Amino acid sequence: MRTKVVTDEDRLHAERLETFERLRNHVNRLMEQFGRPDSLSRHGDYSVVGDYWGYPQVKVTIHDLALLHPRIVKRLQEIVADFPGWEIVYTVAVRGHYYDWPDMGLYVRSHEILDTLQRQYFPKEFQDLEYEGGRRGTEAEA
Amino acid sequence: MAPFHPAWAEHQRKRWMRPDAHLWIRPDAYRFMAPGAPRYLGNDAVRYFWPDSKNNQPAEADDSIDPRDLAAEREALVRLRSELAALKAELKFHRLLREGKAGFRQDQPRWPKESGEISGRWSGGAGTAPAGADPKPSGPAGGGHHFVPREIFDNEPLRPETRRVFEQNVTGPLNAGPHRNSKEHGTYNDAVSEHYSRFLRENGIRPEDMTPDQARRLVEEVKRSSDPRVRGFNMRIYMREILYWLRRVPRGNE
Repeated sequence: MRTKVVTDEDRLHAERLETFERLRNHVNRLMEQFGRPDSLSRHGDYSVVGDYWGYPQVKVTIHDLALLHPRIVKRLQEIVADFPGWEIVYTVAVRGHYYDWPDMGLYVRSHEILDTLQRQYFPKEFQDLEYEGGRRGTEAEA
Repeated sequence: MAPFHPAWAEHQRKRWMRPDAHLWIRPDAYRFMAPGAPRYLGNDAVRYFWPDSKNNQPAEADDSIDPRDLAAEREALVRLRSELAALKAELKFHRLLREGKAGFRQDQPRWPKESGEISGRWSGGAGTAPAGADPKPSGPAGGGHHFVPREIFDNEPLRPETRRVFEQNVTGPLNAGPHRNSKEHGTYNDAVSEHYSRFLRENGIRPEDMTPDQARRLVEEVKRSSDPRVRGFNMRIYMREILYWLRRVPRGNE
């Protein structure tokens, strides 16, 4: 009979996966208050990626720029503050602009928000978005 | 009985021992010897059976474990593990590529001899799934990439057993690299949603009526999809995984 050897690496992976699920649930609950999630049969306003890729991150893809509101981002930062070392990758992916807008978004961490938004692509009402504790940067810095 | 002269005994041993005798002895045979037994690797392994040559033992044959040996063995172990993981990822990648070929299925039955058909040719029709096949029983507990993404089937009114099929169809744990603000998840999800809507329409079913078999067929369609949004994303994940494990292989000078 084959027995699976559980290494420290496996244990660490299992712990991180469990943390990922908890953080993802928190993020899901918050986002539900501000928009409709994507589903198989309809396009929604956002989706919280359900795959753990081995890094302490939860990724949210937003299709509606209204979800960039600083109040929502502030709430996300409060959530991630309870998960030291983790970050929320908050990606702008507006349908219809998948290919003509560059990659951009926010990296929401407990101590800072790395802001890689390229506001010049946004409609006028979204060009003045600012985040408390935000630091403008590029994707390469993330 | 008079003892043999050591030189004579040595001569006899060499005379009757094959020059490649070490090939018949495990290089890690010392692991099975009494504690403190000297260790020999490669050609020197045969020295276990040359008691008279104890005096010629190299300096490394100390009873205590040399920390350098230990470090070297650990490094070798890490190298082997990394290579194995890279091979596994590559194997999955090739499987994905193979599944991507139109309708190819390796376990598809062939016509036997004297069946009235040309023996060896595929039978059962290309692209048919084996009965009751559950392609990847790894489950969601290990994490990884879901071919039908969790974030979009979670909110769908599916039967529990159908949902389970989607949950189980994952790549397994990934180290594909950190997420960046790329839109690949958005385009992938949209493409899978289109597959799903088409599948429901063509089969005349509602989400709540979808059976596990139909869910498996949908997953297979997604895996075999030639849509660049789906195929490209899946391939990138495997390529990243392979690169991750190859990068972990220690180099000679480390």
